[in-house]
Amino acid sequence: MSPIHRPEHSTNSPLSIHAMTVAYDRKPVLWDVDYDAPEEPRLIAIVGPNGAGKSTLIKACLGLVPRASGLVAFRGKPLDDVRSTIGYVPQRESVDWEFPVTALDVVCMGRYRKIGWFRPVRQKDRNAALVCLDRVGLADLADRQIRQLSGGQQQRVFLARALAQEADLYFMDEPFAGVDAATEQAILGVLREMKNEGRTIIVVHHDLQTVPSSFDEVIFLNMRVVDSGPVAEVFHEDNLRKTYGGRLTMLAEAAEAVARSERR
Amino acid sequence: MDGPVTFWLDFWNILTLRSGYNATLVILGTSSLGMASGVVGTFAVLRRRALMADALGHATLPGVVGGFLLSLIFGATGPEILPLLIGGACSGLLGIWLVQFLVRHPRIREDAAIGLVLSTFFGLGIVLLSVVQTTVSTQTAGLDSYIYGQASTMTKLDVLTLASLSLLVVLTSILLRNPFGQVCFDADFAATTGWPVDRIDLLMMGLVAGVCVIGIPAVGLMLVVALLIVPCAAARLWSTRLIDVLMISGLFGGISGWFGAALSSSLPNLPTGPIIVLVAGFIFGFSLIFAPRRGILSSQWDSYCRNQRIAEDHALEHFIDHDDSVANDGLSALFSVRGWSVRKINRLMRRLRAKDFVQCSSSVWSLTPSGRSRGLTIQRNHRLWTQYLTSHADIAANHVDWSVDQVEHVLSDDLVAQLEDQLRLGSEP
Amino acid sequence: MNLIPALDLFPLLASVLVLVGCTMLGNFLVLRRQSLMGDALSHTVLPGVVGAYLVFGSRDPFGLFIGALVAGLLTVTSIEALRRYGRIESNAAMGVVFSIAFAVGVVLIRVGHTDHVDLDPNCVLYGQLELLVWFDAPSSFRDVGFTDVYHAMPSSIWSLLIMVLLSALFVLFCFKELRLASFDPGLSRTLGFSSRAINMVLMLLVSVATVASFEAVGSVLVIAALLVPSSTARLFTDRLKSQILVSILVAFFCAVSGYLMSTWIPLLWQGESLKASGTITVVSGIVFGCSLLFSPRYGYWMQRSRTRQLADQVAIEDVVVLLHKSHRTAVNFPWSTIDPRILALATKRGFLQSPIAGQYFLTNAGQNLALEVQGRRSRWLNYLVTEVGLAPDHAPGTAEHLEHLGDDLLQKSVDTMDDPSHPSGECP
Repeated sequence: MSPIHRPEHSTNSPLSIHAMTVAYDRKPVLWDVDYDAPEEPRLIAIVGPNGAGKSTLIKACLGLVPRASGLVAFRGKPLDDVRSTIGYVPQRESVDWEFPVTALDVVCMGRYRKIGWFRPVRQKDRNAALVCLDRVGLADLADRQIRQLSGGQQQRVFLARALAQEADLYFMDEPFAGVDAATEQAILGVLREMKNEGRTIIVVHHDLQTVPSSFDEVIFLNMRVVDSGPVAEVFHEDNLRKTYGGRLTMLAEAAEAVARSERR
Repeated sequence: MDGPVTFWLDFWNILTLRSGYNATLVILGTSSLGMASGVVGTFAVLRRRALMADALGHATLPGVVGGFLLSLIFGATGPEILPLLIGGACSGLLGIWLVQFLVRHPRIREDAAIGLVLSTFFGLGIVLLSVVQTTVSTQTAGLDSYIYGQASTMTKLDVLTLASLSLLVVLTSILLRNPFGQVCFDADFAATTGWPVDRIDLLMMGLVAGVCVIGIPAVGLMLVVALLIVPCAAARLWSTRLIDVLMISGLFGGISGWFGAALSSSLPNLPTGPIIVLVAGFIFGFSLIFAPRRGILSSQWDSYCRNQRIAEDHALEHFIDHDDSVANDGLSALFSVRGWSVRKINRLMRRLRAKDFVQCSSSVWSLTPSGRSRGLTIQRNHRLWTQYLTSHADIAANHVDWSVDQVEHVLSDDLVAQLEDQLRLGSEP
Repeated sequence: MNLIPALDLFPLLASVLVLVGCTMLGNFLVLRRQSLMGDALSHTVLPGVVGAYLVFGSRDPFGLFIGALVAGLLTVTSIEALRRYGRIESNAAMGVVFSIAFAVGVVLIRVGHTDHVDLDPNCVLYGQLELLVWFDAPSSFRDVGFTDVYHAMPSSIWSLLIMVLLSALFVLFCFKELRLASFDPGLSRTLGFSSRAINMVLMLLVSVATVASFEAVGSVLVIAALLVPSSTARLFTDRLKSQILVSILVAFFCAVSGYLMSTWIPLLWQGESLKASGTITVVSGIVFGCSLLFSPRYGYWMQRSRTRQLADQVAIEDVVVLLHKSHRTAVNFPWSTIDPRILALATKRGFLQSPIAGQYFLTNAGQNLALEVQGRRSRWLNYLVTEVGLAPDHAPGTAEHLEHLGDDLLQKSVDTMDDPSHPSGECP
């Protein structure tokens, strides 16, 4: 029997997860997750069935849920040393959209870390936020209360906030949930720009069909990492079956997706 | 009272209903009230309306005072129980209806709605009270007791009313526990399966309001909420089945009423209502700490053990991977991937040694035979789980428990055999 | 008749301070859905205050402050602990904690025989605004300069002033942090602004506000002061800053008018004055109720009439288009299926001629409207099919609904799509 395969962890990786186990309640939901993100900027998708622990993985990396064991390092440093270089886009449902803030206010929140404790938001921060809002195509709506935006626009406001954070590494929890095809393309466009600026972006993703066309790397997750690596190498039916099991609909979708990626 | 002995004797006599007519009446009244509110309160808590009961209690004040004013106009000479209770019930229900109405507005959340109704109604009650006190100050003596309660003045009639109403409430709740439970658990689903959710809900809130109103003369409107929610909160720590929670909650409520009333009449100058609440609070505190599984001691211990187990499993796996033995100074290198501190590693190794999984001779740690077999079991478990996740991924998540002793404890033997076959086939294609 | 006797100056000032101070904090309680924390804290002040009295043996305000602060801290932490370790739902946890604490308070009062130092529970509930009298008030402006007259000022005024100052400073300096932690606690934590610490400070200040206020106005008015003006302001504005400003104005108005009511209303029957804490609460409740009905933005009345106008508009356009399409066969037009109110409304707005023998005909304006509506619908259809990716056979129904709901910006981008020179932007 071969020993458990453990990757060599590099201190230059923007995110390396060392043997992380996370337990909710009585049972572990993530077991012995080992992962190293590539050093070069990449667009990385985390895929897996419901309840596979995708959001938990992100939250555990960010210290939002406690880890039972394991280490997370960002370019070899612990989270507290690099907070300002880590961005986070939570699920859209996690906030109260009736909250009395405008789109611009929300984007400004991304810069709070730079502004620091007790200092007010200044005009220069607002201008920077406006630039970010413009990049996602919402500069016209800066003064709207966030409830008055459509679902896709709300998602883009969150994206603009992430841009305003000017981080090196982003975690995004389902940024494509409930947005139409056009908005999805627009968001992807921005993500690619961000990647080209040298940032690594890790996205919890639902839609297998768009993985080959949209992402560089993929992590197959189902309570443990099934496989990870460049889409061209690891996005094949075997891994999909290992991750999603024998579910017929999924397999049909997967086959279609694989076929499309081969055609490309 | 000449000392603790007399006090306990006294207390025992009152507790066993052997000390006079009045004390017995009060005890019977408060314990039946406690039982009823414990049972009904369960539904309020499960429907996530625990604090609605608080709003209800506070909102009765203007009705009580208004009922008193009206009864004065119609010729009464002092506070009489019936108009006060009717008035209280009316304004209490109006308050609850207002909360329901307010939360439909997108800008008003339930918590704010409860607070708004509670404070406004109570403010109105205070205004009415000061009107009464400044205009007809001589006859208001009994009104204050509605805020803090006055169980000691119960008459036989009061107790009979309380007892029969309580019986009615308890019977209704137990008979209708299924529809009530459905609505509490998932009102929308209950509606789609054909339950008349609105009417069930109304009946449920009606029962809560009823208990609230009949409880107010005894424990006061500030504290009636405690009788409704504390016994249930305690009961939920002991069981997760609805019928058990109902029974336990009723029992706790009854005990609080019984002991509270007995305590307050065996000590001078202690108000009955707050003492009943304190007894209920004591039961709650005890349950919170000591209840099996859900109590703090038990659940903290469980999660501590779980984390220990996970660490031990990891450690044994590392040993197996490392050919069963490692030098003392190699330990931290072996576990470096885990991010454990030296202290944690030392404690872990001590625990493993105590369990006879590892031994240490001339500063080399190695697995004992039992440690090795345990490690192999763990490895096998994990391989099986991985295989299971691979072959049954669509139904996996809820069943997988990496830290279980044997996969067989969770999955059936047949399935495990099947998984082992798959593993063997996979390794020698 | 002197409507505002000089005697009322301090009670009036005190109620204004209470409402304004509490409201600033209350805005965040309401937004964080922690309104009932205010309720809980105002109940647990009682055991804190009584406990402090029993420990220190005096009514020294500082001691009472400490007692209530400790009680407040214990409340917050024990509710949090119940939620986390006992896994008890937060409402139930709050109810359990504050009702037991209140019971402890009532029992302590009886056991410690503190009734005679007017620490009775009633005083905690209603407060004694009327007793805030400045006995040695300067009788003329010449005395104002002497500091010794200020020693006799009621001490609650000082504690209230400090409370208002603290709240204002907190809201001013931590505005950004409060906003972030209330809106998105997850991001707040990843950015390194501990939302738990911010929450704790907020709760401490609410405790301070409750302690400072309860003596003057009682705990019930404190709950109202925390929640009512901020909930009212929430109905008027979409900005946090303006919400806070509006709530302060509302609080000021409620305090003054409520206080005046307590002295004016009894004049109707020549009675003595009412409990001011009660009237202020009732007045703020009424203010809230009126705002709920009539607020221009989120009031029920406006929302209902807006919905109705929109429905009328849609119905009129439908009728006009229908009539336009079936113009030649208007004789057989199924008039009975159309709401006569809509027909009358369309006639009134000049889109239909007055009926001749039960038949309606389009006016010129009606013709134009029909053409415009049809054009608009086809453009929407085009947009939905090309941009959103709906199947064409599903689109028309959606288009009819969307064109009325869509905001002007979207409309603009749809309109520009017809213009070939304008590149159809991917982000409308």
